[in-house]
Amino acid sequence: MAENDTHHYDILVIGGGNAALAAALQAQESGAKVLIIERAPQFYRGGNSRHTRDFRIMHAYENDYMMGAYTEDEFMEDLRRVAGGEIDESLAHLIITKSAELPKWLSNQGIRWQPPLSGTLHLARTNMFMLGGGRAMMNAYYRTASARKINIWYESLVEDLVIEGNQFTAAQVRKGNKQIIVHAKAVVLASGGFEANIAWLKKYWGDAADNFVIRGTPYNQGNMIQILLKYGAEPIGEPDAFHAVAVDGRAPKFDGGIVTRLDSVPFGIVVNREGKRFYDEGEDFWPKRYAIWGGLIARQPGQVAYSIIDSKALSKFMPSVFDPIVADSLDELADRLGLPSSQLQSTVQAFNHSVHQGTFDPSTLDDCYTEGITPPKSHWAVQIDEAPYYAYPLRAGITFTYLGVRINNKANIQFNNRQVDNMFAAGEMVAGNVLRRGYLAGFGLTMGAVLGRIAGEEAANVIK
Amino acid sequence: MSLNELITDGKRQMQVCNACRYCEGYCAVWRAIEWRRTFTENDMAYLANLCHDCKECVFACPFTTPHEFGIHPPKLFSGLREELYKKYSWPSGLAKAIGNKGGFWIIAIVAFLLIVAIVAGTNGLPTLLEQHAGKGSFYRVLSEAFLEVTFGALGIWFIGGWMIGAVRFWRDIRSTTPERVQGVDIRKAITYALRLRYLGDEETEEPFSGHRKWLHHSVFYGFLLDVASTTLAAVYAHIFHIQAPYPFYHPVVILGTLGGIGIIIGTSGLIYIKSRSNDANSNKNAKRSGNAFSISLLTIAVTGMLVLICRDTAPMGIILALHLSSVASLFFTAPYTKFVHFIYRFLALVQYAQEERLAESHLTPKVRKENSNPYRGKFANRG
Repeated sequence: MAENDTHHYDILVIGGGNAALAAALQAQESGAKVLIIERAPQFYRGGNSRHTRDFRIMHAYENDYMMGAYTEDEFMEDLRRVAGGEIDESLAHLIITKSAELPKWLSNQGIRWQPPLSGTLHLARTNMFMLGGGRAMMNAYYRTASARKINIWYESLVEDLVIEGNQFTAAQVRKGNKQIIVHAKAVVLASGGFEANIAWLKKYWGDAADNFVIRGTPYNQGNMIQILLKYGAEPIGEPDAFHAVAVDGRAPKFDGGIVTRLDSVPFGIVVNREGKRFYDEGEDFWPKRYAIWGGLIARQPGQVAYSIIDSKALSKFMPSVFDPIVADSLDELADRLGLPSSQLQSTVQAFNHSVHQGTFDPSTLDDCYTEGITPPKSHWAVQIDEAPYYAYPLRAGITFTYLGVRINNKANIQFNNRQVDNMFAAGEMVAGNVLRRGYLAGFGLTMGAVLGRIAGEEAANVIK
Repeated sequence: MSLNELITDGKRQMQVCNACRYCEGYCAVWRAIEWRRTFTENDMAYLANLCHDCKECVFACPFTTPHEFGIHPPKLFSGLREELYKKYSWPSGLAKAIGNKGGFWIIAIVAFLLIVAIVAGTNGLPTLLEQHAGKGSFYRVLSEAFLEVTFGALGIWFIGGWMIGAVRFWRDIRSTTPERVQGVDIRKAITYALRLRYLGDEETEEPFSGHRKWLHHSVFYGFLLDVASTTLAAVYAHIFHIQAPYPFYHPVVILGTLGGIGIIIGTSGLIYIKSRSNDANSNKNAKRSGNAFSISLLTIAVTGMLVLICRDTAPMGIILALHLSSVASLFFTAPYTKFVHFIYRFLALVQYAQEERLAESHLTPKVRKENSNPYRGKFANRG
């Protein structure tokens, strides 16, 4: 490849995850010559898609991989519930109805599914699980893309886009030390959010962002969002919003993925670094609990918290990737964690005194609650009194951001100052179009694949 | 890595896997992991032998090298198996001496020299180089009685060796299971083993990996056909008093030929796939011992076929001696080579079948629905 090389394609796809590959494969089905530009090296290809697990799928009948039925209305209702009042109903409707096509289409791309098993049972009716998870899915996508002669460039960064008047014409790409101009008749952008860009997060969170754990790929720097906004694309989604869960505080800074999740919260108490409780640990079940605790910890001093349990609770939740910190007394535990011992002991004492004895049952909102303390623990409140005591440090694990660019129902990017017919976007960078905030398990992949396919199809249409 | 280092690293890896569980749809190993929270040395021995090394999980794993977690269960398990074969075999010193490297060849050469010496001492060396034909021609080179005593003794040797290893391994993996194994568990384990249910046969990122299953079947069923052929030959010789060699259309010859072809195709394919696989994805010792075993079977099959082709010609004597010495070596080294894998795998599958039964007795029938090949399920429409 010569220096200052120039390449010509029908359709350029920027990004290498689920939405990008869906777009590329769909465009190729119309006969287009497609190039995929992925910023990451081959092993880390796929962005956050490599950490994903399942698609949320509307279906009228039970099949080998999903139980019962999941209707359009029910799906929409679930979305409305998490959306907090703001939802693009027409786009949501489009994604829901199109989700029904995904199982067959994705299977044709070589993606395999697993029947409901213990780890997936709670979502077995609404969601379909990829056999082996996200990386296996991305492998299948890429294998199919290669077989269909789609070109793929790894470790390549799009540094700028060329938009002449109302047309995208080319992208300026850095591949190693080479500057390359890629001309294309249409472009699909599907390169994720900016959650790995700590400097950008600091604009909203200040130095606290230094203490966040980024659960996914370090390559989601949001540079395409930045470039699009520079050219006048309409922003959408709350800029300072992100989806964050409580992760083990010892997780790697980036790419710890699923294994750093920790679900010990409802089985004990959670204190901040001052040794004080700050939120109702027994408020709700998994989906909601999962979605709020990252944000709660992000707002605590030092962006750190400690889940404290005793030996009764240890085997009641999914095993964690790191061993808990263990001590024979609360005093010793406080010492190990670097917490003020007297405060931790009085917090536990106050909690224990307030516990109303009931019948402990983690599968229901049970009648074990506290009386007379703030914050309360509404369910699953059991005294912490059987040594040894265990603790897990918790941090905010950022999953994805909401800021992106506005699109229409054809995945065409909307600009403030012009109408550009040959630019499309899909995936996390347009997630804010449907949900300004909120999280519904498996919806991200569904949205990515549906809008990716639409973007690929429309891109192929405009070049005809 | 030593056995202890492998077990320590194994426990670390299992903890990561158990917090992830994305692989649970792949094979028995993953459900066995989910049924545990902590992992003992015996658990690691069990899991290592439950793994069939198809590597589907590794290519699905976001946490394998270069990720800092460095997860690689198949590589870990294959390394563990190599060490465990030595640990459980008796005497373990012999296992270390001839287990994975050139043991088969050294013994085969020794056996060949012994056979030549015995022929020289009994029938005289020229008989080895002469042309023999017709009934009992093989026995004019080596007497029937000698062959029966030698191979009978070798049979007792390797079956005894296998049983010692099996008992030691079984004791270890059963140490924490109070419930008794039932007939249904054994039946299920046999089905799993005969179908290689847990050897994934999808193409991974490694070339031709999807062919390992049928190639292994080809070796395994080829070997069974050869065992059947030999048994049948013994029946003809001792019950019907019809001596070898038999005509080409004889069931003994047909079974033996089909089996030999199966072994030749299967082992060649497996050796080729191993040669194409990335060293980063396999344990070096396991790769070597796997290849050594394939090559030893291939040698036996090829020399066996040559005996058949050349049985009426002068080179038959030498070829027969080569064939018999390689068979003798296979038998003598059998308790210490990769040959033992089927025993440990099968016992691990029995344990798994029992654990599966106990676990499923807590689940609803709907959840138990099995789908061994999801890829070709309802949605796949390639037409």
